[in-house]
Amino acid sequence: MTAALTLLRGLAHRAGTTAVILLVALCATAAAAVGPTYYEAAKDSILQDTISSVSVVDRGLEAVAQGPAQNSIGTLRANVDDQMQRVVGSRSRTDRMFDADVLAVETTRFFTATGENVGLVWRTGVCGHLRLRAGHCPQSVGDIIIATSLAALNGWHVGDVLSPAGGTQLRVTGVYVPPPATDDYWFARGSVYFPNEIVASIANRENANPYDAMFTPQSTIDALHGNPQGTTVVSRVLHPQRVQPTDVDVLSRVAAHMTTSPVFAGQVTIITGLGNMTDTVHASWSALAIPVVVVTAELLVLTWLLLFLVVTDAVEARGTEIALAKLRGYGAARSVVFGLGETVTLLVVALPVGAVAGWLLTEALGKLLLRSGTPIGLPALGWAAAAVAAVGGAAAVIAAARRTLRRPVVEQWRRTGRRATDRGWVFDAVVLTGAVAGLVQLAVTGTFGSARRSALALLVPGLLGLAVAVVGSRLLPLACRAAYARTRRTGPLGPFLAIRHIARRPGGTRTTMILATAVALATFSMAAWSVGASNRSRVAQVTIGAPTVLTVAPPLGVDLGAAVSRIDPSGKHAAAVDTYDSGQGVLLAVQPSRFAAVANWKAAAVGDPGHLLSQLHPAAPAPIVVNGGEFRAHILVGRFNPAGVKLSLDVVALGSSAPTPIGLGVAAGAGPVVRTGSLAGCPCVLRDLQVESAAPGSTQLAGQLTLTGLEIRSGGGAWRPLPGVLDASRWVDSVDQQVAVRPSGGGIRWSFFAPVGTLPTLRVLDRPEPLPAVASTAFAGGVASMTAPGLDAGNLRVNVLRTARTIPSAPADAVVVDLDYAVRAAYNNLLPATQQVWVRGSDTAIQHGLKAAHIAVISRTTSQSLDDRFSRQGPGLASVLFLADAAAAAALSALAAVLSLAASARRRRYEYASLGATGASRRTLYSALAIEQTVVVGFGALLGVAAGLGSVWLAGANVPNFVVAPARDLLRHRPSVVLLIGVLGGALVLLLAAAMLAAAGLLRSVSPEQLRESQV
Amino acid sequence: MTTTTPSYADDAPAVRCDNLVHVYGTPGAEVAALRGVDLLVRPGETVGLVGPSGAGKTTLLWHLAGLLKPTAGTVEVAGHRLANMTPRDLASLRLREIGVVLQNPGRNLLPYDSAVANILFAQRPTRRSRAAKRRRALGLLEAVGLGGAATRIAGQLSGGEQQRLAVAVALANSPGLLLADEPTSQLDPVSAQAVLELIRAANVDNGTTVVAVTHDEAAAVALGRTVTIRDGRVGAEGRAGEDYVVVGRDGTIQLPPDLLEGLPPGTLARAVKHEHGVDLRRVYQPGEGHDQDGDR
Repeated sequence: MTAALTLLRGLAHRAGTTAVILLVALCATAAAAVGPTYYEAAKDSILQDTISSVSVVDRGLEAVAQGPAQNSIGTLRANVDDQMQRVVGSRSRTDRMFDADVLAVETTRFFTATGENVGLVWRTGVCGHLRLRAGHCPQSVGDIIIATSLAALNGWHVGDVLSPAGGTQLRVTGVYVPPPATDDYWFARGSVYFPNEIVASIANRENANPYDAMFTPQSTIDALHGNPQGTTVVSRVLHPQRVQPTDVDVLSRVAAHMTTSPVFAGQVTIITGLGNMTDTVHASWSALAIPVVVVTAELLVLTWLLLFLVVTDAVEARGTEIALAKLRGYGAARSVVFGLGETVTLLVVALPVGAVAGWLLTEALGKLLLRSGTPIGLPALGWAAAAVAAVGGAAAVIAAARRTLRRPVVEQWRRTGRRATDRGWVFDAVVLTGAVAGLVQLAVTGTFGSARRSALALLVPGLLGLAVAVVGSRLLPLACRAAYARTRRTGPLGPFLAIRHIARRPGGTRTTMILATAVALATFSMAAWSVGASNRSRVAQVTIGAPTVLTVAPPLGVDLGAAVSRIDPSGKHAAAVDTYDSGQGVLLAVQPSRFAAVANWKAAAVGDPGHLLSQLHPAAPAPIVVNGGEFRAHILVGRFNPAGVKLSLDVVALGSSAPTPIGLGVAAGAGPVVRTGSLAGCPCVLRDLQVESAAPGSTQLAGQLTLTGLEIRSGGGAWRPLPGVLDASRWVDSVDQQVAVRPSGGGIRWSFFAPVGTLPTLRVLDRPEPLPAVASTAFAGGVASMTAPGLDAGNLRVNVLRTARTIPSAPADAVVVDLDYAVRAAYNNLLPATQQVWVRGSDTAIQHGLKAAHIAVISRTTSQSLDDRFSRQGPGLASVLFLADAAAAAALSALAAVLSLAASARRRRYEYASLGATGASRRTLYSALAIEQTVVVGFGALLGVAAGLGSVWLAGANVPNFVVAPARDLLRHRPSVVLLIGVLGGALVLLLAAAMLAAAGLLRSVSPEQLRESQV
Repeated sequence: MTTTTPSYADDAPAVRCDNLVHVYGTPGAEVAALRGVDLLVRPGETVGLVGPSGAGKTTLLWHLAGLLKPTAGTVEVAGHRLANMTPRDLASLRLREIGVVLQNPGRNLLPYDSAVANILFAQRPTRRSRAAKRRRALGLLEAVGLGGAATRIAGQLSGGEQQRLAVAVALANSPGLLLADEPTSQLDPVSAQAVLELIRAANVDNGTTVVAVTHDEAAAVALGRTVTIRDGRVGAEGRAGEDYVVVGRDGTIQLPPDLLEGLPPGTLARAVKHEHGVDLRRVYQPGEGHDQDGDR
């Protein structure tokens, strides 16, 4: 008890030193605890971010079995459950991770009258995911609900009883509005249930079943005659908030097991992207794990060095007390306990307090950096790391105190001591060798100086800083010694004293070394952070394309471009953009001037987007719109070889996914023909006139005809000629040979030769042909004329007028064309395309405008949100951790340096008192102290900045900024000079100011009266 | 002044130095602080080490405390030859047998701790019970007149109080040997007297052997005998108010300053043996002619 009281009184007596040691020890334990704590929390944040950003297929699994529709779902469900339990281990864990499973049985019913084969589906909880326009949910055997499209197509209503083939009658109890098929509930079956809304691609579109499914209770399926063939489905989707980092490995094994289990082989198809998701999560975790270890290790070593520095001074100050203990008969062990008791007590206190402080710091960091709602606890590893820091700190304390503890009592009193053997060079040589060896190893493994990115690059600043600091700190005393003679001969007393103190003070070297290393770390971390933040922002901006991108679904027939032009008359805030990604390239159909104003061109490093896009919209004829119930064509058929041709026109209804051919019959010989036909679903766009040989088998065809008139009428009224039809400049034949299209006798004369396999087509020209385009440099590959994907997923011929290295939203493989012309080229078939509105500035007004125009906004994405998500990935989180910890370490090192200098100067108070007594002015003494502190601190800081910048030059480009590296063209590796100068300069000024204040404070306590105090 | 060779009893000495030599070595400059000191202190004696500054008194005291290793010769304390002892045994010896009072009052104490805690600090390595230690500490504080200051912080006591507390600390473990290095040099006469009385009381009441370095004549008088150290040798001893020169083991004797006036350096003297010793007679003095008969 008395010993404890003595210890506490000692700590209180040395309050300043106690505070500094405790602060450094707290920093060591906190820094150690922050790493694992931050990592565990970041893992959870990354996991939740990933789960919430991937498609439902990547966060769930679906088992699909073909076979009899009845009595099979139970078996499939049991098998799926059983196989999952084998991996997961417990039912409760499975139920925690996954939402309740969704079961479905799918079969079809054929309606003979209409020739329609319509899906009949039982799916658990389906009514909860459908909006009924009429009627109610099916409840009894034979009840069904049908889609609005199916109801409209067949004129079915609620209450109708349908009689499909197979005998079981179905009663319509409700009509549902087809939902977004990508909702989680539908998993991968949305495209099966709602084919009328989902068309996977143009290639199989015409073969797709266009009838949305009928939903019914399970009892209906069970009551079907003859147990028809069908599909049974069991799907389970992760519940994001309930999945924990410890579940990821299990999920990875679940994905692997379920997709390879022999139980399912050949009978059950497992659809899951869980493996992809867990791979992504693991990649992001790995990207964070190494930096956390490296950063924590570097900071731990630095704080241990700091502790060594501080404790050396502190124990030195207790030398007389330790000598007293020895004089009183304390043995070696007791002397050590007495000498180190206070410091070790501080370390013991620092362990829990530092760990908790690290936890609180992580919580604060987490609120800023991690996904909202991420739980942040203090894991066992955090405690262990803090304990390691404390033990390492104790080792540093013992190393620091060793000399004082071993010093004989008499030496302590006489203050002369044995001349210290200069073993400093041994320590320096060991540190230098280690640092250089580390750098060489990193260079050999390609961590820097190559294109390879590795988190081990974070070791470079520590190693280089240490190497530079070791060498540099030895140079300072040498330089001061070189100035001995000069200051002896001339100049004031201040510099004379200062350079001698610097040269002779052994602690100065350690101060310089630690300060330089810490500042090197801080410089590098700041540079790495600024580079990373800038790259993440740039990549996010280029990836998204504009500050805000709204994905919209305009009603059929609504011109998105025109709507956007009305909503934003200024042309500077919104742009309509239709895109189609074929996998090989991305078409961006844009409003050129708006696109130039709204897209993130600065991030794409395009200086003058207006000029880049200026030639995308040359003048072109308008489309020929056919709007009526009947048409009449006047054609003068010339001689064909072989004789006899079938004539047809193609029109495309607005929004239709395919042209509608209108047969004009066969013209057996030459001469004028007049053909009429009916139009359905128009207004339509006249697409082309086609001629086909009437002879059986494929053959070549050559000949000519003249289109002399095309008229329409509605409701049996008068025929009206279609304006512009007889303008020869509006027709083109781009598929045949020996083509001639020219005016002739008030009509258009078309002659051609079509080899075998081609269908002679005279197409209406309503756009530039090919379309003028701007393309990504890499995608164009130096070729001007090329084929790009069209908005209708077909081929689009474009003429690349200009290129840009990076195009917003599709940096390396974009083709930009005019929206109007691209829509015309697709004949208004925009189903495969994604329609967007890009917005710069607030999108509130734009969204209101879209709503007023009945244009639904399906999703909203911003560059900032992607930037935030990048920042929450491993590398982003690591860079902030590095920055925060290195800044703290640098601040701490600076504080320790100032305190060390002050402590050193305090031991010279008698010397200053003597100088004062012999006539040296206070100003002279202050200048001596100020010069000493400025030189030591300034030199250490500048050395650190130099080492930090050297590290940036060596390895700055190797620090990973992304989990998945983007195109190198998007990355820049030059740190913000303004930031570096501002922060480092400011810090240096503060540091020097603190040193000056410490010097002034010290000199205030110096007076000749001290000389009266006795000394041994 | 007479020269004499003291005869010692055969009982075990409290302190015994035989031809003790100590050389402080610094590169390029070696200084012999003790040049063959012979000293015998019997149990219960009080001895004052006097002599000019730099003569080696404090060095001799540190040897007696086992804080220095002799360059040559031996030091025995309480029958233990210190040079043969391990650091652990030396610490144990200091704990049980030796109490030390240093010159600077503050240096004897933990300035931030209470008076009683300082005594307990010195007792900490001993095996006595906590209660016994505390009783002893409070008793000592009473004895040194600080009974009312047990809980006061040592650094806040006056210089005299601090030095009395230092004596109490040195006596905490009832040492057989009390070493004091100028215990009164920084004290006012009243405080100095109080400290001397404490030391004397320890000697009288407990039989504690005392060896004290002092420049203070009052202190020297208060001690049983004085040993004068000059140039690293024992030059003289004083007993019962009379001073004796001490014959070194190489036959040298150091004359005190008053005798040197009669035999100044360079003097040729004739040594005449007789029944009670040897007489020195000057036969030549620098600046004079040879006087074959010399002066007695």
